[in-house]
Amino acid sequence: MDGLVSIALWLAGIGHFCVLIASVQVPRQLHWKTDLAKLEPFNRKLMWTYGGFTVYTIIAFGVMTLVLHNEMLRGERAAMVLALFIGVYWLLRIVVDFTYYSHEDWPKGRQFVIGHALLTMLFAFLSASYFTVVIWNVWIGRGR
Amino acid sequence: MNILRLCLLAAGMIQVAIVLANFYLPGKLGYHENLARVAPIIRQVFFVHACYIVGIVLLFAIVTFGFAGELASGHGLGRFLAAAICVFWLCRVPLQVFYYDSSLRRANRLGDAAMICALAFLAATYGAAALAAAW
Repeated sequence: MDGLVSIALWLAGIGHFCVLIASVQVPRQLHWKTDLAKLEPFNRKLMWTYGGFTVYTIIAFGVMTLVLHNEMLRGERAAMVLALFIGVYWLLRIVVDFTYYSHEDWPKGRQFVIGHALLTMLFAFLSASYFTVVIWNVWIGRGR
Repeated sequence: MNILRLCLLAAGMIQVAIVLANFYLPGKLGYHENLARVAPIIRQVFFVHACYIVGIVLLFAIVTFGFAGELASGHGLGRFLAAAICVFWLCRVPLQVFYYDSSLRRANRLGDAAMICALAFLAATYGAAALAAAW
């Protein structure tokens, strides 16, 4: 089981960079440039800042998971808090997708439907992987 | 308790203050009236990003209060986190000074100055924590 958790963590680290592939397309696909021009300058800049910092956070999660793989697997206390946070972070992203976003406004076309489904599955995988690391270290693997 | 630990404690409190300020900001900056002009999906993405950023800042505060020792340890996860939080706040300084609307900043000079000081303090504190072992 240790081996499976380890593989899931490697994949989760790489998965964050796959999320970024979708993220960089969002401004163009949702026509941010034309739509955000309707906002006051401060709010427009705030939107770009939020977006930039969100990308930075995802990069940090990915790098941390890959570089500090062993610390996460060992179940260090700080690592478990972070793993729990990242698990909740992606779980909430799925909840937001299903309960808050208006899907009729999403770009139309088969490739977007497939992309959306793949992205949601990736969020589910990321969330499940980090929850597994926490559950494995805190409860199941405690006696190892 | 050494100076770095005290600074980390202060950094945690500043981040809690930033989180709380984010509840006041939407009214002050007229988010609702302003965002009513854009497509619903853009409005929704804006609010989701805003909430996630508040969540991240709250995480920084929690990690700082709970794991100040690890952050200042100069190795492993603590060092990585301290460096990542330092870069996060360091990037925010030029945005505040050069990117955000200067007229709005002039109209709120005290808040702007307090924010720049807070950002510089946060970047310096986490930078010092990341480099702690090298000193």
